[in-house]
Amino acid sequence: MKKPALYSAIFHIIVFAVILLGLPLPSFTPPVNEQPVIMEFENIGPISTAPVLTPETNIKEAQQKPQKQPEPPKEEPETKEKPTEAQPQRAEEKPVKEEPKVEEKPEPKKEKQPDAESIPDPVKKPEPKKEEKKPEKKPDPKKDKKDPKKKEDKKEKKNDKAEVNLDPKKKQKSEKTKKDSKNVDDLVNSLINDSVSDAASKGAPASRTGDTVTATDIDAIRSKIYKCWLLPAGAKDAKDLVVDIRMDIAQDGTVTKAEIVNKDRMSDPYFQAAAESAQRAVLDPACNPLPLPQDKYDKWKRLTLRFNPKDMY
Amino acid sequence: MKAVISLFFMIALALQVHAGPAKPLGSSLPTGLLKSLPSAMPEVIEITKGQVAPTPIAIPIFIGDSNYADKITQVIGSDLDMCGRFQIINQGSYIQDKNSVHEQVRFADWRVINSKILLIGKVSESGGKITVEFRVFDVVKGVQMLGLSLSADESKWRKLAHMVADAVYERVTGDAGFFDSQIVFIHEEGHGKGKRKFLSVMDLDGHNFVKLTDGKNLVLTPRFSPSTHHIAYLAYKKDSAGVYLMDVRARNTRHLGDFKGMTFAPRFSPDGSTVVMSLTKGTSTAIYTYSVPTKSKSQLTEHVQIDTSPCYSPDGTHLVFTSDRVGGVEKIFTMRSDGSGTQQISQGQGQYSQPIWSPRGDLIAFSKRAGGRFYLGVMGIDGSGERLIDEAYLIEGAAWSPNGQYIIYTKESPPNKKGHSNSELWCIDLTGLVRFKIKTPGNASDPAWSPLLSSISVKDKNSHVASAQEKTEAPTTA
Repeated sequence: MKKPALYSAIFHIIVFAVILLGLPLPSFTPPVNEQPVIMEFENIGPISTAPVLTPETNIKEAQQKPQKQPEPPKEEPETKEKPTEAQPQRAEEKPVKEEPKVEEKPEPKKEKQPDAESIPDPVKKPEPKKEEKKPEKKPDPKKDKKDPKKKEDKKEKKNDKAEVNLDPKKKQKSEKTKKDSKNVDDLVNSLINDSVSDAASKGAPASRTGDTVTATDIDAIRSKIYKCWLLPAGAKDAKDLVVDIRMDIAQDGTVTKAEIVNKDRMSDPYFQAAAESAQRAVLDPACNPLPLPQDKYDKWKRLTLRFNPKDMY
Repeated sequence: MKAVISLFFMIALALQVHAGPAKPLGSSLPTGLLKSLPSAMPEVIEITKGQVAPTPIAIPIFIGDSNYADKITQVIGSDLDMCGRFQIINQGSYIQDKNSVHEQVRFADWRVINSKILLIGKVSESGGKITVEFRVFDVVKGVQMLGLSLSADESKWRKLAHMVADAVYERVTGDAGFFDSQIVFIHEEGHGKGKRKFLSVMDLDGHNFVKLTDGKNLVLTPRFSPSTHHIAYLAYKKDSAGVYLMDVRARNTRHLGDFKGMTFAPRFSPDGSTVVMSLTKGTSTAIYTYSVPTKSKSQLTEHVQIDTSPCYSPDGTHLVFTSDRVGGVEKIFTMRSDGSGTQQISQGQGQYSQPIWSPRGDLIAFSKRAGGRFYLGVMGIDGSGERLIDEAYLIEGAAWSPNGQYIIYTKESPPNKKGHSNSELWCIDLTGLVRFKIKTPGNASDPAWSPLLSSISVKDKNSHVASAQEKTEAPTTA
């Protein structure tokens, strides 16, 4: 009586082994499918020196952002008192670029020219936040990508269970596969959280601002200043025209004061031209506010930039 | 049972193999993602990359009761646009109007249209005199950079406009301007045997064109004296050919020195007292100098090979010239103004010719023939950093602008079926990025550039009144 049962058990085991070893098992594919997602993070998410925030704060910020995003674009068309044909189009198509131009700088000189104050204050507040929100748009879709895949995995596992009559040993195996994929998922989630915290601390999406892949806040500043620093072609002895600009920066990253450090050279007309173009670069509304971490304000509220055209000629 | 157990272990092993590939996912992650911010920002952040681009400038039409307000604004705009250092923002996009901007500049309005510099002006007329009062503002900083008032005779309204453009150019770029200057060149009429060449002068923008000779004699390579009162040039008169000196105001000419042999390629020294030139004797050509006040001559090189196209350095201490003394191919050499210390500076292949020393002293421009084509190039005064900035069927006769930023030269196209070719004057900046054609009445060649005709002496850059002194007197219509 035992022998038939034994033969039956062996046969069942063989069949099970054949199924395991012979057939392609969907439960092993999710790690392969998830690989491209990880690689995307490698490309876009820069090597960050931003602080690693706690997961709780990340989750709260992520929830708040989608609500606030629609507000600034609506305010923009209202603030422009004399819209030309080009401006409303610009406001709709490229809201981010228009913001710094519309925004006014808190300069003391404005007190002398009250007529210039044409833009209401409330516009200033949502703008810096909006720049912070944008980088988080990117990890969010990726999160969405991950979720359907997870759901698919779960579905596939359920299907496996429905097709194959698992005995407890097989359930142990499926639990192991679940654990493996769970480990990978946790790792990916922690990566998402890190990249979100990176972006939040920077205040502006690095990949959007310039040609360099910004990895640090310093690189983010360089990328931003790049488009506003206009050098005249053919300057004589240009490599000697190194200008130091000492800046006072407001909490939202706007440069409030730009002082030329080496003033003794200002009698040289070439140096004066170079120094003034450097000043214009840091004060230009198109390159303000600077992308600097809000929580490190004490470290960067006074910064000196050295404009060195050595690589340009 | 043993078989069952062994089978179970086999299956477990198989599972491990399948699960294997998932592991490297964790280890392949870049560790850099988890670096933390340095505790403090560095003291000085270096910015080494910007954009070499023209500076956007807004120029609302000058106001005032004068008819010349519009015209002066237009000439200033054309000058600044032509030189490639400025990008003139379209009038149609201006928000603040041209009148209220004189009461109070609304800098936010100008920032919105991406202007960095603002130029405003008023033109007034009284008693046949025009006064232009203009101000230059830094729109980004919201401060005035320059404020000047210039007056001149009504007939010189174009000159006033060029002077305003020069003042803006100098204040923004640091380099002296070059718009208030003249070109002396050979104006051509007709083709083939009927072709006639006229020694002529005109403004840089092609206005005020004047013929100085009658076209009966072949004339070539005219050069201004530093005062622009004289022009030295090569003329073929009757049976002789040689260097002549023309007094522009008196319109008289004289043969320069009684050289035995043909003299050509004359150039003035920076102080205008000496003319350096080439003299051919037999098959060889050497370099000589002629003192205008003393009329004495001096030989600088030997008659062994062909030395020609001499040009002084801006401080007058050196000369650059071409010679085929090495290998029979023309190369560029420098020597001291007394003829000593000769050394070759050109390093490349090909035939080098007509070198000219920049008024800034830092570069030498030249023509080069290689591979059947002509090139315009620049190099350092030691021959380093040679760059070719233009190419054509024929390029010759280059001359520097007074501020050493631009080069004017002759560019010729291949002859057509009738054997006629187009000869034009072109201007290029020393980077090669900006180029524009000079407006001439017809075919033109052999250009030379006058120094800046007026200097604006300003004690304080923000002063309201400045004296504009005419350094030189431009030739006028007879």
